[in-house]
Amino acid sequence: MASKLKIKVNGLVHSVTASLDTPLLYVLHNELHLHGPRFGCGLAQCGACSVLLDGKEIRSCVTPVAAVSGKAITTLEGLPALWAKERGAAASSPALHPLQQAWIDVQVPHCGYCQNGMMIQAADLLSTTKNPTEDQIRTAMNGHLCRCGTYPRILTAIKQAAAVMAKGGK
Amino acid sequence: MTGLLHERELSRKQFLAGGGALIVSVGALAGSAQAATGVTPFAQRGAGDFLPNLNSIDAWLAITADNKAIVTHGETELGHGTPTGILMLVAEELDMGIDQMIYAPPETWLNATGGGGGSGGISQRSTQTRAAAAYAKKLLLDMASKQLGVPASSLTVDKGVVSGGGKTVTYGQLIGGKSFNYVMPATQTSATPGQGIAKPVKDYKVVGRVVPRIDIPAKVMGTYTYVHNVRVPGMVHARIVRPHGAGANTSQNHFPLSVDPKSIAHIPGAQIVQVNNFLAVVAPREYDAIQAAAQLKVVWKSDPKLSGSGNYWSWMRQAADTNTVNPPRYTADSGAVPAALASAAKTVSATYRYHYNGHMPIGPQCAVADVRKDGATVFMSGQSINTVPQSVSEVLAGIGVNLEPKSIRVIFREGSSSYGTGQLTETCEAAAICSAKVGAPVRMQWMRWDQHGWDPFGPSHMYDVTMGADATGKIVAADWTSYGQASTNMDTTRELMGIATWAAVPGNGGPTPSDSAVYNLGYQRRVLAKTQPLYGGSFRNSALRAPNAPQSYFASEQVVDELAHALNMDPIAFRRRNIDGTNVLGARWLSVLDAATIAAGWKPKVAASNLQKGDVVTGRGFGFGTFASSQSGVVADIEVNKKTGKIVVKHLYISQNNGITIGPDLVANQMSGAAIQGLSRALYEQVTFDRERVTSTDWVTYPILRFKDCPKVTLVNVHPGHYTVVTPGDKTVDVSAGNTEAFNEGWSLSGSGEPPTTAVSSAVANAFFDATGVRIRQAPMNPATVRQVLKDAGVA
Repeated sequence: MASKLKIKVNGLVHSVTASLDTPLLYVLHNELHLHGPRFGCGLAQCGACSVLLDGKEIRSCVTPVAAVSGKAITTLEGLPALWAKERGAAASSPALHPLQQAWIDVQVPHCGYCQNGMMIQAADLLSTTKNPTEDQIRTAMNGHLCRCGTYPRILTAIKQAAAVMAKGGK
Repeated sequence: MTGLLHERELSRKQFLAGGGALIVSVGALAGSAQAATGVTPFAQRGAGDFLPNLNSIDAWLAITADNKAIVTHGETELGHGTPTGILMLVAEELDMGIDQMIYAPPETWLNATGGGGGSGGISQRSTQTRAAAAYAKKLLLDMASKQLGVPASSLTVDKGVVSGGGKTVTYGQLIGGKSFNYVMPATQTSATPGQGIAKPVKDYKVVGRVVPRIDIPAKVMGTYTYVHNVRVPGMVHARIVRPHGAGANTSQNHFPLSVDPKSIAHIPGAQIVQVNNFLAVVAPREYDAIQAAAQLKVVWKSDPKLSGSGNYWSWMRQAADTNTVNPPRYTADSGAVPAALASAAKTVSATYRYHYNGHMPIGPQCAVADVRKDGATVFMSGQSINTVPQSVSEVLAGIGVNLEPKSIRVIFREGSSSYGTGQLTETCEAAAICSAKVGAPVRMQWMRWDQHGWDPFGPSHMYDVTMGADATGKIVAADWTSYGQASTNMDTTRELMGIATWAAVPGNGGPTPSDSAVYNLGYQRRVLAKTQPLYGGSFRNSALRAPNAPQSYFASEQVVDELAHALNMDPIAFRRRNIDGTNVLGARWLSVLDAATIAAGWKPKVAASNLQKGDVVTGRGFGFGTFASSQSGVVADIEVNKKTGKIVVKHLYISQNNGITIGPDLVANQMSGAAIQGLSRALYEQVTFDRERVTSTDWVTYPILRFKDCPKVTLVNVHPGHYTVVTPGDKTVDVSAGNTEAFNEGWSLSGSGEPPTTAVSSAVANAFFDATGVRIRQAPMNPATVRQVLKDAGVA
């Protein structure tokens, strides 16, 4: 049965209608029209659907929408505002999170379908580990799959973003 | 609001508005579309009329009044950056800036040049685009000459502004919003740089520069519209219902014996769509459609015709050896092979096996279809969209819905990880059937098991080969027996609907070994091709990145390595001995050989001549590969844990000669991705199955390469006289080796997205031998395979 729920996504509280066991992904995509998190496997195996839940990466394809009540969800679209908040900057958000900027500078994506999860996982990593070693990056990212083989450029981009954030962050 | 019919007009207006005032009147839409694209207007098209006159400039580009160029090449973005490359080519010939280029996404009503598919996106279509742009510039200069009263030869162009005699005029002022109405001479519809009308390479200003891809910012911000994100008013959601893995090719072996509608009666709005054996569910909410597909009670016919993965190779050999429908046949036979082998100083005999691999995109197939009385709209991902109106029309006719192809508009939106044809058309057809049946626009998306379990796989190959060389290291003969299957990409939607059946007489298989593509010195050669039966043990297959080449190079580049070892020769020196560097092709092979080995600091030695003690040992190997007329060489540095059987590839040195490089960074990214995907296939990927059906249906049962196992990559793109090392850093290494000047003139431009895929597997296999002294000869080279070959050799 569909229920009325409130969920907080990218700083805004939204009223949505969904059965309580509906995975968060379908609510984000179909109700809120967010295109960052994407369906990949529905099995929490690939990471294309990742979002941040109170700052930690989760797989929205297997997380029931009822389980996120009272928590803050950040999607790819919300990363710029999250970065602004982390810096304690004024209301105006930058257009891009340093990770997104690095992804463009390094020209990471091929098809780009998996890159949502890559940037979300990297944001989680960099929020706790300011200057990760390559081993730490590889370990943190190991649960995210890319079919196009973009891993080397992702490593480069994360290192670049980490350097920028270490300088620009608080 | 009339849904997509409304959207049609809107998008048409937006498109024709383009970057400026190209089109003035909505009432003249059809004629305007023709003016913009050279495509026969929708209303005037016949059933087969989806290709415009490709000799017409207007089929390829249009100039807007505000001095921009709309490029209607029709190239699909498949994640490879090809549209960006095409825009660079057009900007180059027109002497415009890349920022003046507008990409028109492919769709059958507005531009139907249809792209060149994956492999040929650049190598085949670039010459036509270049010719159209070069002729356009010529016509524009003639117009400017008249207008300015200055001879065309005295005019200069910069950013689409023509200058001469102290006066200027823009392309937009000359022809903005109007048609060129010029058909190129039939003999001049493709152009090679520096020949005829096309600009010579030395004058290039845009081509060869690092230009960012046009699609990447939106992909990074989450604003890109993949086909998965298409949303139209009134859209409902569909899922296909099939067993989770395909069975063997037979006639109709997947059919539902019974379907119990009551099992999903509790799901709001859920409907069953069944057309003969085609079964799907539709519901207003996506998760309800997923639940309906999961909960629908279906009894499937049991038809255990497969060998099971463990028995597959013995089945393949036995079935192909005894195939009377397609008996073994010689596809090459110089007649003197036995004598040449008898006279050889050394011979090597071995068998190589390479398993079925799948496309396995991260995002499963998706299509959106809106079928109405007067027409249909289909959003799809895929390489060539032109054939889809016909396909959808035929499938709809199969359920009594008659729409001519010309009334079916197909709009391209990028999908995920497109490295071949996959299941793209059948997804559109399935969506269209459901839309027609439920009377609403339908979004059909595959689940993970639909994708993994029903992929038209890249086929498995097996080769028996004996190769011999004389005492100087020259190959004298190769005697091949090749095992494989014919191309059998049956459309599953049609098969299940009962409107198509597998070919009664399956074609010949037995793949072509790749040795003669590289070692072109004319040794004696024989190939006996054997075909495994289409029915009862094989899977359907289709083009998968560098179709058939990773499999064949896995064999041919190992056997030459084995022969080098038998002769006590350095494997690089052996290869060099057998390549004719005096012709263009041989020079290109030597260029990638040099580039990869120089980058890697290759030190000549006999392989496995310095075996290390201990459980973890290291080795280095080389392999060649080619695809889409481009050559690649790969040096692999690997580590083998003899206890666990795990191979870790530490570093790949990857070289590629793709003729002219349009975008160095576009090519570098593709070289890296191609090598890593090829490595994933070589190390991990194998379709598994039991007697009944495919059992590798997700990322656990079909593992691919992960971050922790990703090697460092050094990329070397070859140009005349020098090689550019792209990663790490951006530096150019001037070297004189490789005879690259031999092909300095008359450069073509060949594919850059596939070649390393074909070279990496043998490089790793040869490195394995260097590390362990044992030949592996079977892919995937996963821990189970490694432990087995070491055990068989008595090494571990």
